[in-house]
Amino acid sequence: MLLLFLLLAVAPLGLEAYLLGELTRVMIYGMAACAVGFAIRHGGLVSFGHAAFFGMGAYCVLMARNAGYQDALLVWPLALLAVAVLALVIGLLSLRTGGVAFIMITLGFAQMVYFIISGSQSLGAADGLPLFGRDTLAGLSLDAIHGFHYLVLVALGLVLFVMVCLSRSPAGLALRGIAHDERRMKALGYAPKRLQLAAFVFSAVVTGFAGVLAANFYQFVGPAYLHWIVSGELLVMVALGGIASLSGGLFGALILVLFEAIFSEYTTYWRIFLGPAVILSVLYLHKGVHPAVERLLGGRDD
Amino acid sequence: MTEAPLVVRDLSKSFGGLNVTRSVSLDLKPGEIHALIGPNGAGKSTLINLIAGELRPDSGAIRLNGVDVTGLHSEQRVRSGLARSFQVSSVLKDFTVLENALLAVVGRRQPALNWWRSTLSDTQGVEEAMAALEKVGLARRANAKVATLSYGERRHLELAMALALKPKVLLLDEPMAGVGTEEGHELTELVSNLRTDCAILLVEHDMDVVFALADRVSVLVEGRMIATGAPAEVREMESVQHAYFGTEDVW
Ligand SMILES: Nc1ncnc2c1ncn2[C@@H]1O[C@H](COP(=O)(O)OP(=O)(O)O)[C@@H](O)[C@H]1O
Ligand SMILES: [Mg+2]
Repeated sequence: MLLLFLLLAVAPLGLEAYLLGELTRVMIYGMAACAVGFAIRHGGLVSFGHAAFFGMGAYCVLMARNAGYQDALLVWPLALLAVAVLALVIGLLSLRTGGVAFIMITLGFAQMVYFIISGSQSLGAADGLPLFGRDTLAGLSLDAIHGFHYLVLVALGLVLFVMVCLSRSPAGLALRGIAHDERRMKALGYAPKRLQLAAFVFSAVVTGFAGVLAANFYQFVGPAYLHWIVSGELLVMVALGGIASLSGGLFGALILVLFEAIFSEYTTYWRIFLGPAVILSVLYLHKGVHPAVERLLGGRDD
Repeated sequence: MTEAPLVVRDLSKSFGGLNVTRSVSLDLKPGEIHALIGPNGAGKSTLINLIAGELRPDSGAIRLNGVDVTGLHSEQRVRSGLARSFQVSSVLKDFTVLENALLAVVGRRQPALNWWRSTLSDTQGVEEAMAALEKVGLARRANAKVATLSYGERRHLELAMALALKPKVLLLDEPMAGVGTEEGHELTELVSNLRTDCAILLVEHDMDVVFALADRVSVLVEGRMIATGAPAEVREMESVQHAYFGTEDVW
């Protein structure tokens, strides 16, 4: 884990802008994937609707821009607040179900958000809109990829730190218990739904943050952010990286982007190779790639 | 005089057309071990589930320390001083022994759940969890993963977790099921010592255990409570021998 962070930290010194951008992208999607994995690991919630939160974060950046606001210190917290409210509503309704029904209902809500926003003319409708430059950070420009890369790195580190703290807290421990055996946890005095709702909103806010960063990275916002394929790819990253560790999603994102980079040279159907990779990861590495890598390196991680 | 810790009145429950609990009444006195016996399928586990709040009764009332809890969820009943163990051991296998006990300690303290501080840095919580483990003789295994424990040890842990909830009423559903004689004796001894901490409703098949432990015995047959009394009394009742044992030489 530390090794990866070190690599990400020194990368801007040696890489050309395009490759560096790919790494920034890995971190952004990795952050969202870690969030999706967090809700599975802590609460047993498999969400197929996180595209709604990813997209919501991105569209908030666009809406703020339309209203004339461009500074991260103002825009980003408001964006996360909006995502939290959306997640609270979707979570409250979805948590009335469980298991497969939960997967389907989160997908359903995400599709609703997709159609509402992609039908809105002022938000670029089906085409989306360009941002013309990134948000500023307390007046500082983030338009150069190097500075933006470091900002994303710090954000990712912060998010993972918060996740580690949460997972070690009593609430985090209880949520892991709920993922294993809900009935058992009730018999110990826990109210699963309340805790799960909190975990769901947290996971959504982190995903929304990744969406905010993605909008700034691409300097473009469109319905593709909200598409269910995003939800699916985040789950694929989780499956690749595993949920044995909190940062599994980051490794999943790395693998996915590498796959795309390598195989899309040869074929537009590069995703064909993804299926077997997921199957191999789940079957042979048992808990995903990350623990296997850590084992190879002899390291330890939470 | 204050009311008994647990009072069950005219409890009924049916699954479809099957009347599994029929107008059952039961009192648990302070500090008593009350054994619940009956043939397989009599509805003992169902009664435990009703009292614990995992199932809703069709009619009847349940009072804990004088408070009507019939409408409360299971987790709310836990916070009112009720704990249970499961017939099929259900401790969380991916966790360490200490973490399992801590979950119980923290569960009792709800809803003031901490989201930030590490669970293991909560020294008071760890102390309480260790004390519960100490009571069942599992303290030295505190950092072992549950998956590595023997079946008997898991049953001990199951008890420790119930104890960590500091219950006033403890429901034990066949706590000795599936363990060897040696460990059975250990668990019997253990349950006997809990008498001072809480009132216990004990579902148990082994008559030796029932006689060693129980202050009173209730007999459930086809959902109906057919007898309650001191063990020796109940044993002599003809209806019990007839309905439950069929023959006399089971004893
Ligand atoms: N959830 C349920 N749905 C339908 N029938 C059930 C359910 N739970 C228990 N039963 C039935 O109720 C009867 C009593 O079961 P149980 O309470 O487990 O008996 P015991 O613990 O005394 O062996 C059995 O016939 C069982 O099949
Ligand atoms: Mg039973």
